[in-house]
Amino acid sequence: MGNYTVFRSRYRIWLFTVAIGVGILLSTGGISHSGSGFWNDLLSGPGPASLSPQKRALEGRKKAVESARAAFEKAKEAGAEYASPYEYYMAQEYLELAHDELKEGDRIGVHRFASESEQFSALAIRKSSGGGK
Amino acid sequence: MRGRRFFFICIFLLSAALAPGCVKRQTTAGVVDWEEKIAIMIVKAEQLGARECSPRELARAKVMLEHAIHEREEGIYPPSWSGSKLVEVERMAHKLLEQRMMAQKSGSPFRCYHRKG
Repeated sequence: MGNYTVFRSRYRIWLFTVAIGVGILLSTGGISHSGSGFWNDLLSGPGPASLSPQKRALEGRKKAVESARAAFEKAKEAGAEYASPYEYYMAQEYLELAHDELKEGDRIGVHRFASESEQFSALAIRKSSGGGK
Repeated sequence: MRGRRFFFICIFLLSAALAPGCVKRQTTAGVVDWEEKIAIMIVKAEQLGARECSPRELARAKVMLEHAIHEREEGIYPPSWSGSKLVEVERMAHKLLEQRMMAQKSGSPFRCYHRKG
């Protein structure tokens, strides 16, 4: 009876340890192998849902910079460099900064500076197209 | 006797733990003052027409200062990085303000004036 109890408790400890191990493997697999690798292939299908939270956040940051870049290109096409140079250069400087922050991996900075750039681009476009101050 | 020694050791450890925090706060306060000084220079230059005369330089100075403040707030970079960045921004702001002051002295504050050379 005593031996049986010891066996049962050891069995539980093993089971618990294995469960924790599997849990850690799954979570790290999701983080470090997003997009490729055994765990990712096993656990998730294609599409954005398969991305880990870190990867999704990175995609979000890239999108923010791309959106700011697109807005800046529109301002450039609208002739904002000559029509409203201050807003144009502010948009350009913020865009460069957002790009640098993206490379550095600054989560807050990218969104903040990309958003500022987009706002200045919009203002520059409005002024260039005769929107006035 | 033993209790008194323990008390002094505690006081010493407490002061050793608090001292770096006080020093850091003092350093940060110095940097914040410096940033404010640069911001005032930029605003003055802007009021004197830098927005119309040197929009690129003004935008660069403003964004660089904002970047330096952002990095200081995040606390990732060492104070030396922030210092070198602020030296650069201060130089730009000083140049901008100098140009505008010259224009003002010449009697036409909103006329764009660029120093030759």
